[in-house]
Amino acid sequence: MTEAVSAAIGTGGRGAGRVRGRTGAWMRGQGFWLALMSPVLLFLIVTQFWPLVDTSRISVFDYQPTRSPDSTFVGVQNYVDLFVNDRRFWIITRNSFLWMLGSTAVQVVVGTAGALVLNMNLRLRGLWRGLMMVPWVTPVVVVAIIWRWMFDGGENGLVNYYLGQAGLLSDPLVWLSSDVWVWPVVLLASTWKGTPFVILLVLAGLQSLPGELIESARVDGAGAFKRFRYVVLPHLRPTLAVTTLIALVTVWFKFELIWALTTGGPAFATTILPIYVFTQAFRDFNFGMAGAVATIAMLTLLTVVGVLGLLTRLRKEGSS
Amino acid sequence: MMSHTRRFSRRQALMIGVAGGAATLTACTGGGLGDGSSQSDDEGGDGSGGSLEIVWPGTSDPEIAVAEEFGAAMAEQGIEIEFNFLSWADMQQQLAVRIQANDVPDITMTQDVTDLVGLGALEPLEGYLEDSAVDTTLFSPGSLEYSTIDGKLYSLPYLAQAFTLIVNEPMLAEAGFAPEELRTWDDVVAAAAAMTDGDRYGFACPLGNPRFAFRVPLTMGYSNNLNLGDPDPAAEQRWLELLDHLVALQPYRPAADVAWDYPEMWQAFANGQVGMIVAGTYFSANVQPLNPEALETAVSMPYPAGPSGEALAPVSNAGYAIFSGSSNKELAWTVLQELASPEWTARLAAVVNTPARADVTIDDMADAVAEVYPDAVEGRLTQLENDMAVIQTSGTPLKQIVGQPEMEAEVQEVLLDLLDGSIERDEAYGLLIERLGAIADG
Amino acid sequence: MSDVRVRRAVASVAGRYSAVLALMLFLLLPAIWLVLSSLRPNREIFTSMPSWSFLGLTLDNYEWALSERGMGMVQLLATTLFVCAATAVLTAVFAMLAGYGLARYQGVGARAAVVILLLAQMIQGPMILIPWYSVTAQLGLLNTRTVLILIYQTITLPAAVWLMSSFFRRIPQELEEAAAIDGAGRLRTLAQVVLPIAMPGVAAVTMYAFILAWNDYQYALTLTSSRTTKTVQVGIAQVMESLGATNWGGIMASGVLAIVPVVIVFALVQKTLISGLTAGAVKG
Repeated sequence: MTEAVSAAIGTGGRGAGRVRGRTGAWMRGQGFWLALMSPVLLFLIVTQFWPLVDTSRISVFDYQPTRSPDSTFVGVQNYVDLFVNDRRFWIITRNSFLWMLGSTAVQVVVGTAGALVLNMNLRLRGLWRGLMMVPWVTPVVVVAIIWRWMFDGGENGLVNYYLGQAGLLSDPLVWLSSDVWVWPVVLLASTWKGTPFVILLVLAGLQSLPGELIESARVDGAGAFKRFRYVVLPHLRPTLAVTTLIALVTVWFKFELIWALTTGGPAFATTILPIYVFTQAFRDFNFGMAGAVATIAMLTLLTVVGVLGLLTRLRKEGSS
Repeated sequence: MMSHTRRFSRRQALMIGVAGGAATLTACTGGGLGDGSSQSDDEGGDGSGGSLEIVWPGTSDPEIAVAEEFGAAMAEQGIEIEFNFLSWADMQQQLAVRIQANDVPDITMTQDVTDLVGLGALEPLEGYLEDSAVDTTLFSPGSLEYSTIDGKLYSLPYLAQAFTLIVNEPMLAEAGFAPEELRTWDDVVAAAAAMTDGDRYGFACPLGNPRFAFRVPLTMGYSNNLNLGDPDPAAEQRWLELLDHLVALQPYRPAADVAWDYPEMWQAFANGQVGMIVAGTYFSANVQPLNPEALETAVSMPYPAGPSGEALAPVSNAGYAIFSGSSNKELAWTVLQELASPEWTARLAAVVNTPARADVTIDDMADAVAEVYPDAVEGRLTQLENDMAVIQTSGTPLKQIVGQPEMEAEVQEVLLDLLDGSIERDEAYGLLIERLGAIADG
Repeated sequence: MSDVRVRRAVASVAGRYSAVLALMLFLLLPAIWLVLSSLRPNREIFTSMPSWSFLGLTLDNYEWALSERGMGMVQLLATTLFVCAATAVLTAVFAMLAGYGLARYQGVGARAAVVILLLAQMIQGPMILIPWYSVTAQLGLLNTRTVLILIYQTITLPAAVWLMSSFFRRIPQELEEAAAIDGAGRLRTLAQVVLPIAMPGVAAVTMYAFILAWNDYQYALTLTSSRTTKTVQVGIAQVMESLGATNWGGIMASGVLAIVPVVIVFALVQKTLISGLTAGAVKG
């Protein structure tokens, strides 16, 4: 691959060398960096931004092809319907936040703990780190089958059975049909699937933590918690910021796991905005409404990211 | 930093090697990047040759085997068939995208054609039927109607599918009932009560998946002169009776069934934990792998009569349809007739359901049954015979419902609230009429 | 005194390994249940009592999963590994170039580039399916591995570029300046000075992209349909919800077969990956 890259670069280099005059000067200045970025940015703009425009365009039309082949311009009617007339919309929005914040928070916490564990001096560390990947690469369909069995609502569901044996549960809990209990299950499953990604990034962050720092803290008499709080955590902050951002964006739009576990149910208790987009588009063929929900989902996330200030902070930290 | 990273260049090389090796391996075994792009592009057209893409959501082993044998038989006639295997649930999504993008397959298996017809994607078949040898009088009651919209037929059925009540006969006998005694809804409730004992339950109503949550009241409704897709205020009495019936069965259901999808229901029935379920003629295929004996001891019947109706089994179908955007419709029709012929119908019906045509007999299906149900030949033949009889004697066309998937979700939500006691019957009725009505009106 | 020290050491070792045990239990219990189920006959998977017994296990499900008449996992894995590897390599190359550019660019619109990446990361799923389908159908790319590799770039590139750029920012610019004084052009500097240091980062991004492609289901479902282009995710999902019998044991076995090769590759390259991510994710 290195050869391939060098070859590609070689060609580009000769091309660039022929450029003369002001363009040449620009290419030797900032233009060069822009040129490096341009293939990716152009690709993303061409492939991704047309769908973006198309999605927001369709959101101001009433387009339900199973009912009528024509689409009619309706202005903000779809949005009004969602905000005012749709009794589910606000529940679904709340669910989305619960899902995004809950899932990200738990993943980051558990992932950080997991990374600390796998960073210890262990025999067969490579093996543990390899096995840690299992949840991440298990196909979602299979994840759903296993988790549905484990949280089966009968007394022989794996979890009910052992909780019953342990005397913690007198009656079996019907996890997936309870508005309340379905959430811990969905969040646990998503934590399970998403934690390896966080472990990897945090483990990476830990590699560059100088051992002497920990050691001197130990000599100063700092206990394990204090060492973590005052030495390890500050060191990890940039990593955690990165991880959190990627996790937030990914979790907000990833719905396959919920879909496979609960199909958004019971009723709409675990439906999140992307699921609503999906069902509006491919179940109800209400493409206009799907476009409106999708647009709202994107704007909401942009706002969240903006509010968290991650965008600016990342930029700053990145360049310092 | 430098020395730290340089150490890994060998590992890096190893990793690239692994990835590259995998790539080479696939390239060798799979035939390179562009392989597999056999979009059914317009060759032929004279009917004697060409290629077609058939969407085939029958993905159990025996169904795939039938597809492959059919493909081989067609290949002998110079027709190349590309099968597009996927699940019924995924089919909707793939087809929706392809129809929007004006790039459709040639033939598809169908169940409910409403959405596809609404999208203008299917070719009406009358014109083709007139000039063909297909005898439409041979199809089971209800099966053709299910594919007919505004007087036009859009698919040629191969399976007739009826929704029925399925009873574990030994459990029922233990409770002191015989299947023939289940004549009314009250009988069902009484039997359910008598069968419920400890951790065995008389009835189950899987509410975890909207589609199947909807199917239970839908099936019951047909036995009470009620169509769930038509929220007509004039039918209030029949709605209330239906809701009362569901509430009456509530004490005899396992608490967990509110979260069940179909697999959990089959499992509970096959293990003898539940005595009665609302299911259909697809019962055998689903339960045989779990407990072949259950095929011999289960009795399937039209759901018993409600206070305002008689015992009827709504009949739908699975069929084959041609896309109006197919570039080779004549050839597609030729292939479709072959697919819907008694020979191939018998093969599939033996495996998964009941045949849609009256000229397919039990004997025609015996060989296929022996092959697919080696440990339950007798049981499967009994089920088949019984199902075919139910359709002939009590079958009634299942009416298509515009916006059914949306309604399914609404019905599921209301039933969950009704059955956990958080709303009363009257409120549930009000909500159903209001919400289903809104969907029906678009 | 030494007795206390020994006891403390033992306690520390015990503590460490019980922590690993707890972590592995959380991450692997469902997977162990998966493996056990995959080794049971279909009928027993559904027995009422949870059973961890190792008795009466069978390889039948694996036979089905591997055979052409069953799941055909060999073909599925071959296709998937190829698509994922190609996706990963392509992502790595372009993310490397763009990441380098993003790290060094100070001109107009530097922040806009970051926003474009973020937006691109958000435009996923149903939103892009129909446009992608229409365009690739016209280009004759449907039902090929190429179209998958291309659409996967839209999932992988944004985060990959961003990870790469933060990695390049850590490399001291003096190194490049020194090379420039020696008369090397910028591209030669990149190839000969910067790239060797950045290799672990490239490795990290490669693996990250690999897994993202590996986990896709929606795109492959919509854009491919023939046997030779099916991925593992689609292949396993397709046998659910048939009118006929569902082979649960076979699905479980296929799941295990899908996991094993990726985990082995990871165990082998985890050191490269982790040190690569270190440099990428953490500022100096």
